[in-house]
Amino acid sequence: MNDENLGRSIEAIAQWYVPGEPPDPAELDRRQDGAGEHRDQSRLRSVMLVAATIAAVVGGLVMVRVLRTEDSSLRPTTSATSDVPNDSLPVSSDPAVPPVTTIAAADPSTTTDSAAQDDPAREPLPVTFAEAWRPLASSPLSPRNAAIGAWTGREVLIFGGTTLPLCPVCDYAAAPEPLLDGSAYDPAADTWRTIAPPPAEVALTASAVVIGDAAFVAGLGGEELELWSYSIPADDWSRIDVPADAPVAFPTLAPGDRLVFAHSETADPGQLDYLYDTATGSWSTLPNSPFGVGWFDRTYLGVDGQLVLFAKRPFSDVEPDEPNVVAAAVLDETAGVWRRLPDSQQLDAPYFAEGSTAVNPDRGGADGGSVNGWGRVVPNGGEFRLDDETWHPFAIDEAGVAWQGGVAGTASAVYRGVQGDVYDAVTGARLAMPTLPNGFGNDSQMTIVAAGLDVFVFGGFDGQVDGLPVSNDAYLLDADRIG
Amino acid sequence: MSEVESAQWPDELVALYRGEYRSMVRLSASMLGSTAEAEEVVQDAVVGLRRRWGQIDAPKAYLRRSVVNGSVGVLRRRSTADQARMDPAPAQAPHELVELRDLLLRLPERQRAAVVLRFVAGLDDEQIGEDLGVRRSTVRSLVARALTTLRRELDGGVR
Repeated sequence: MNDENLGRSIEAIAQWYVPGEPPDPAELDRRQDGAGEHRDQSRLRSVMLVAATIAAVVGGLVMVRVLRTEDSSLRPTTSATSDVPNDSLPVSSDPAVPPVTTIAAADPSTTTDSAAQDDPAREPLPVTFAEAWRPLASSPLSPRNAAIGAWTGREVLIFGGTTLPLCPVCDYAAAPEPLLDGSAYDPAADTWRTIAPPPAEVALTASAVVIGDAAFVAGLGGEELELWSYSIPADDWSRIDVPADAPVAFPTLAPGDRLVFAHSETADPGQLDYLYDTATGSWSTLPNSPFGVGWFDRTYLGVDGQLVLFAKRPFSDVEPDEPNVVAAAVLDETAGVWRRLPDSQQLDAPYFAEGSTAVNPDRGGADGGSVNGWGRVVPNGGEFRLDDETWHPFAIDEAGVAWQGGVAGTASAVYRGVQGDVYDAVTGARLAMPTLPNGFGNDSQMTIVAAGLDVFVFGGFDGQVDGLPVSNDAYLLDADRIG
Repeated sequence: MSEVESAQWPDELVALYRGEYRSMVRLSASMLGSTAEAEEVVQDAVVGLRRRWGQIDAPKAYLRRSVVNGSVGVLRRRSTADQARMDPAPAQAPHELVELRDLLLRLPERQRAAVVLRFVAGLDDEQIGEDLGVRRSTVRSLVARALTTLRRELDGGVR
């Protein structure tokens, strides 16, 4: 470990803090006039809160502390996410610590039988996993970490990655180097084929969304948004022109074969999110949402053909003894206006949609800790049903503190890890993945791709072995919906 | 900005304020763990700078020093309830960074300030010493002790 890495990490952490626009000087003058009164009130509120806490403890009130899975320390650094890759405050632009996100496209070969799913007389079939992971044919790719992956409906695209684990506090003789080659794995034939290497610019801090016969790749790290398209049939990369003020963000799939590029936080009222129509190659801006300056964790999700925006309130608007639950709005594209939806009673935004239901599968919850306890445990996850605009947070259970494996729908899924359970959004059941043969866990920075319902994993590093060797092993866990 | 404001706030000060606002907030937030609190600190510091405007040779350094002092003041006044208002880490942040952030926010005030001035503001020992009112050797000691603490704690969880 060296001081340079440590220093770069501290510098990167500073980027997590996103200031708003500086207030006008006149506003500072006004605030200054009222500052004394405000501070007195604030201090009084704090004293009262501490007194109330002490009284609660003395009174024998025992508060069960439940770890929030919102706490990133519980999250795998390599979680592969799907439709909400940009569900955070701006992530470090430090190329040494990119997030790894992988987008899963629905499997067109197993198109949802909506009629069958809607037939109340027909019991939904539960998803089931095979008993063990299946080792796949040797990859032509060198061992690597944090490669970008995407499911085309027929093949898993793997490209990029790094030579070493992305560990800002590890003592490397050399920094992790980006890898530029790529390969496609065909699960039906258990074969790999080399694909055109991506441009260097997309090698790190990017994620991919497959729409039709193209993968669209964008990510963090640059001063401006860079969007690339990989044509699967032509095996060719091309750069897409982007508006100058489009936010630097991961692409999020939106209804109508479009991509959303969103600001993770509203920094100023004039800030706009962008839509890219992959069919026409045109850009448009989204109307300003009802969530004003300071709202954060803004994430979009396509739900039943509509665009839903989730966000959380500015800290200044939330009393310390109340949870900051997820709020939502839905876009009326015809009228060009957002309509505010009821607030949730859960802490984390949905990131997967099954029909008209948006899901965050995370179990567990939080009670605000011992200092500013909320007086109740607030669930992390749950469901939002757009058809009747109701939230259904999950019940709290003690087993729910573990990091989750993801969520499976009728024909598509988002897998965020290989440990913890997977939520079946069709039946409401939860099922566990078997242990990977190489013992890799959620902290191995492997690439995880939902290949339809199957789980594909590639690469990563072995955290149990000195030197943290990286791997090019690939495994597949078969999943099906069978009666 | 309106004409009234222009008359009240010197253009040079307004330019400095607008130009340095975000970096100063990040500097303070790195010490406090809270963007909201940091914004208050910086705004207070700017108001203080305005009062002294014309009497100060190096306004930017003065502003930075005010921000550091204001941040330390917040830390000293901070109640346990305030501590819970710290910004959450980004949802996708690597857990090593989250752990490092938490450790950084547990460093003693002066060590924390020295490390933040070194790595967030990019200052050298001499500049840090001026801001903190200590000698260069003390700065080196503060930074070294802070980094040693961070490394030791991180070694417990990360190889």
